[in-house]
Amino acid sequence: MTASALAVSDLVVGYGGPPVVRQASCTAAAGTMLAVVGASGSGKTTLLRAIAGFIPVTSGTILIGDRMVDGAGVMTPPERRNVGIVTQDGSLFPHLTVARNVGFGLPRRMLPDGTPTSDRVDELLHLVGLSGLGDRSPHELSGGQQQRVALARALAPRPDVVLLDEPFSALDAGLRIELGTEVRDLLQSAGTTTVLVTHDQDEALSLADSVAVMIDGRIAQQGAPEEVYARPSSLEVADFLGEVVVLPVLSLAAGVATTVLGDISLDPTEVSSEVPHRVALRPEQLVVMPAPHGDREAGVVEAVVYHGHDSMIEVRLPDGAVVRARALGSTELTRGDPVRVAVTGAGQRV
Amino acid sequence: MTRTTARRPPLPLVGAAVVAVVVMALPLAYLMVRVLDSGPEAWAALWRLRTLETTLTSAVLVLLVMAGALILAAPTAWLLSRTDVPLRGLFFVLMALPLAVPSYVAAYAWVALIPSLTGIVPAAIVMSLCTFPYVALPLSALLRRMDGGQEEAARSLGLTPAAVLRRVVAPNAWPAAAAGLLLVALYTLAEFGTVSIFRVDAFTRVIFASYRASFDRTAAAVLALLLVVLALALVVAEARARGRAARWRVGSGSGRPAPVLALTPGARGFALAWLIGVAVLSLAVPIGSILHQLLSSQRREFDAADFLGALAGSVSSSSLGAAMALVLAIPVGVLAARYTARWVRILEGGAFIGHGLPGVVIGLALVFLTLMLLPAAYQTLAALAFAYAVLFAPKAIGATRTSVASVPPGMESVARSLGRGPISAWWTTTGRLAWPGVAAGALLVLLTAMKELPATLMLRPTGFDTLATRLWSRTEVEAFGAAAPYALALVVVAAVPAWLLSRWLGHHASTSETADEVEWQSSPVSVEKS
Amino acid sequence: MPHVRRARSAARLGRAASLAVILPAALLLAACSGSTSESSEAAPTLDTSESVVVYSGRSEDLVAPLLERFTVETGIPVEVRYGDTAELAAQLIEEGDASSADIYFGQDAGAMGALDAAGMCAPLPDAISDAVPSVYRSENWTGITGRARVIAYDPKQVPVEEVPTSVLQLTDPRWKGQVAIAPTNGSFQAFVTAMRVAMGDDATREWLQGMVDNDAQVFEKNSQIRDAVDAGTVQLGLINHYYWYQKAAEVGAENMNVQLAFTEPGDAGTLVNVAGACVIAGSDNPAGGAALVEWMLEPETQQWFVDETFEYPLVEGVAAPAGVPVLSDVTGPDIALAELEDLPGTLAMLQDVGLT
Repeated sequence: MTASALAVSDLVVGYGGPPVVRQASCTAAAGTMLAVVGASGSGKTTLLRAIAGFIPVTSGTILIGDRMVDGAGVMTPPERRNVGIVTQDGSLFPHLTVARNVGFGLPRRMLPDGTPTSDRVDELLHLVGLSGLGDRSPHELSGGQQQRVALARALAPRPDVVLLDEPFSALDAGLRIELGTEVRDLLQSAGTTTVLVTHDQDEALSLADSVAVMIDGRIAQQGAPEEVYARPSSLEVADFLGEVVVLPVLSLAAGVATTVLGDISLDPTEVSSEVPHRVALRPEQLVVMPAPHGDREAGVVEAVVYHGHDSMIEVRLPDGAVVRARALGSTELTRGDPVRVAVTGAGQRV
Repeated sequence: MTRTTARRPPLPLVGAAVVAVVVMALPLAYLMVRVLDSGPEAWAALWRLRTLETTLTSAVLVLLVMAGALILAAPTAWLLSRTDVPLRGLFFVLMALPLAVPSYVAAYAWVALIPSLTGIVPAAIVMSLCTFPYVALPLSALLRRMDGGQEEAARSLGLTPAAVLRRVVAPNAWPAAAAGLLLVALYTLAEFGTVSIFRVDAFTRVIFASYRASFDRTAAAVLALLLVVLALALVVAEARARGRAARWRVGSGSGRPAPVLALTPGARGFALAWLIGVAVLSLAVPIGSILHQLLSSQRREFDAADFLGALAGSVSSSSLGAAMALVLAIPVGVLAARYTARWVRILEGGAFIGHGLPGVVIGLALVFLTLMLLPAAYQTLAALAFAYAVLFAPKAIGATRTSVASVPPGMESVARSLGRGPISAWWTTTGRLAWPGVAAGALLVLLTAMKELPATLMLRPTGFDTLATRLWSRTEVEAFGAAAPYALALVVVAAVPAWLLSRWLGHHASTSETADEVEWQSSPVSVEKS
Repeated sequence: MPHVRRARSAARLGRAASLAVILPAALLLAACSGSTSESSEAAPTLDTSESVVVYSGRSEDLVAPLLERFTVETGIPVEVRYGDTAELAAQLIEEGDASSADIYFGQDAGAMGALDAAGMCAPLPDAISDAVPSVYRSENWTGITGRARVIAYDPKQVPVEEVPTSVLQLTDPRWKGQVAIAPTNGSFQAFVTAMRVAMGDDATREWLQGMVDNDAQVFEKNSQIRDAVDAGTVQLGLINHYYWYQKAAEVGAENMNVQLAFTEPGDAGTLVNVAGACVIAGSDNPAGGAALVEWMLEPETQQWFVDETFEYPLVEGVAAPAGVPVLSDVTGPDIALAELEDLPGTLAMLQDVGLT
């Protein structure tokens, strides 16, 4: 395990009133991308700005590499943290050309190692796929191009950490995905530690190496995307990262919970001794099969919503509960069909 | 998407702007008529050595006053918009008030204080003190609205706060400052009262000598043409200095709010010392002098009916004038902000042609034109307000252009996509965001209209008085004790819109923001749906 | 009251003798003409309900109470428009026939001369031209009150006996940089024109050049000059006499430092200029206008001017302001103000020497 490039511990940040970030802790390993995902108002942008040094910290520590930049009476000003930031709208300097923007954080003519600054600028423009556009003005570029310039600019001084504050949310859907992947690849190949803040869980899950879910000012859970998605530590986390099917536990025996859908094995990694009341499943874990007419234990299809790549099937179970199941592609089921629902995989106790 | 487009501006906007510029350039028509009447002797006046000497003196004076105004305005605007110095709201009002003091009152106050004060440097200092609000007001509005994201990005790239100020804030704020400096320069060109009190041999002396001594309107018109040429030169210089970049803010959303600096106690002391010093020099000296004259006067008659009549006259004529001025200025400002074609820049420049002319020239021009075009309107309140609009609309153009330019045009498209018609889309997005800057421009017009004198004397309805005319009639016979209430009233009345503007610009807003506000402001679509 | 320097006794005696002859004759004349002044011929009928529109270059403080009295006494309503003398004249000329003015009331003869030259003044009715000595009027405009040119001096720097008795002495090196003048001011220009008429162009130009070489301090307004002398910034200044009284009324005579000195009678510097009025040629109430001007020349009104502004009355039978030389002593060169029409020549000369 490589040493973490960024470590936030028990961070509390407020603006004078009630704190917005309450004892948040997360880490990012060197060269990886950490996505901090949460709803609006969860404090994720505040957390990011605290890492950047734009907001004073009430308590807690922030370490970048092995330097403590916040905590224990230390507060390093932003210009000395060696942290790069890309904002939602890029914040390019309108009075400078693209090349000047990219080279803004570098010495005018020559880097300390003797390389001409213009070489580094060219290198970065090439990295982000904008070679030859150095003499343009920012307002001549498209939104996506502007974000690339912003990224190049942030990367130019070789920062220890790059912070991305919802950088793709102003772009249209297709471009968002394309650019996001590109950026992730780029940062990975450059070996840069990145923190991505976003409210879009798809983005977080698809791009990041580690996902931290922020709810109400706290980091509820941090882990690999699969980990956090498949084994959410709480119902809130589960609910935030995707659709959740929650079933009451009727009885429990040796790691198997009995529910209205039958027996479901529980995730063995859970060590809690508490008796779970509920089990959480993802819709894609439910398999819906047509049932013969007259089947007393059959549920009824309430609705089918087609999404192109999958369909969501809403089923009313005999006990009245409604569950949603996800099927790949399209389905032939329609409203009113009697069906049976089976469960694959393990459930999470919540 | 914030791509610049070469799309054509909508025809109604162009039409409105063209009409507005023609109206503002009307005095030039008058000058041309008089000039065509004149003979070779009038033109001989232009080629005298004395004309050259006085023009050079005026040019030097203009440069000095611009420098002085910038030195006073920049730190003041920055302190009030970007730091947490205490009593910001009060200082903002104090910063605007020097505009309410007629320049001859201020000049007279200084000479009364230090009788041996003469020459170009004292004149320049006093005129800077009188005119720095032209720069400080729009600058303050723009600084408040600047995108904090740029400054944060610069900090993260390794710049100290001072370097951010120099390399990011200043270049972005410069267009607003330049627009204000243009007004300062044109005002200095046309100014006579201060120049005469400080005995500076400026070019306006030659024009006034021509009117007052020889009553030769044709010679005066020819000389006034020189002022028009100088004004055009200044307009071109300002447009060049403003630069082609940064015509509007780059980005798709509303950006971060401008960062506010928390001052250390030591810095706070310096900040307060500066602000108080500026207020003392620009306001306390003239007002103190007025009060001193009031107290040492043996003639202190005060007629409440006269006073109230003058007050009503000032308020009515200048607010009507300011409203008309906005009608003229807004189309031109919006056009210039959004469209970068050369003809637009020329059109905008045309609006300033008459702005370097002394009030007496404009007054005579409007006498001539009103009698020619609409005699029934001569010497009515509407005509007077219209004269103010012609005189002062250019002051609002720069502020309008700068603040509309700071709003990304993409916002209007977003609003359209949400189902609003073109005007409603413009109004709820750009209009709402740009209007503090436009309001600052309107305030400039209002305050200068209230103290206007020569055109008012000529064009007002007989028996109609403003605070400025009553002030003048008393100072003419040196009844300073009786004049004092009117001078003070000018300042007090001006304080009301200045205070309102300071509230709207958010100088009373607390600097603490909740995370919700912060998140909301950084979300992509910040269009209010009200 | 200002300390006044009087002419040498011998000349004064001679003058007193001539006064003894002239004054009764003048009174006789006035009495004779007075009896005919009522029945002016061909005067249009006066309608007391029609108002008189006055364009006044004299201040409202002064004129408003005066005109109220006029309305009370005669029943004729008056509307007044106040402005700067020169700018108002320019406006009148600009308005031309469309002007609604009936009367122009101005601060100096130059403005009225300009109006006359532009054809804006109507010929004066006999009643008026009979009342005012021809020195102080022309065919189409008349002076109402007179102002004397004086030398203001700072008694702290210049003892009274050293104050020059003639403007020609002002080019002396003793006064280098210490004399204040206002060359763009109408009264200075009238004085220079008078000097040209009395002494000839060459001598005048020589004097002007001498003043320039002697570093004469240029100001814009007479009141500025008075204040500068009061503060001691310059030692001498050429102004109109009533400026002293104007300030005294404001701050109190006892608080004034500057004092006035009159130059010798007959000296080019001793010019009486006038504030005057004319009836506008295109007026639609010429009878009312004429009535107003006549009223301003009546003894009570003239006395009122003397009391309020310390200006000189121009009609017989009214005493000069207390403390200043009588009008007959304050005679300038032997010229009529109407002769001062060559203002453009004066301006050209002033321009040549670089004063304007």
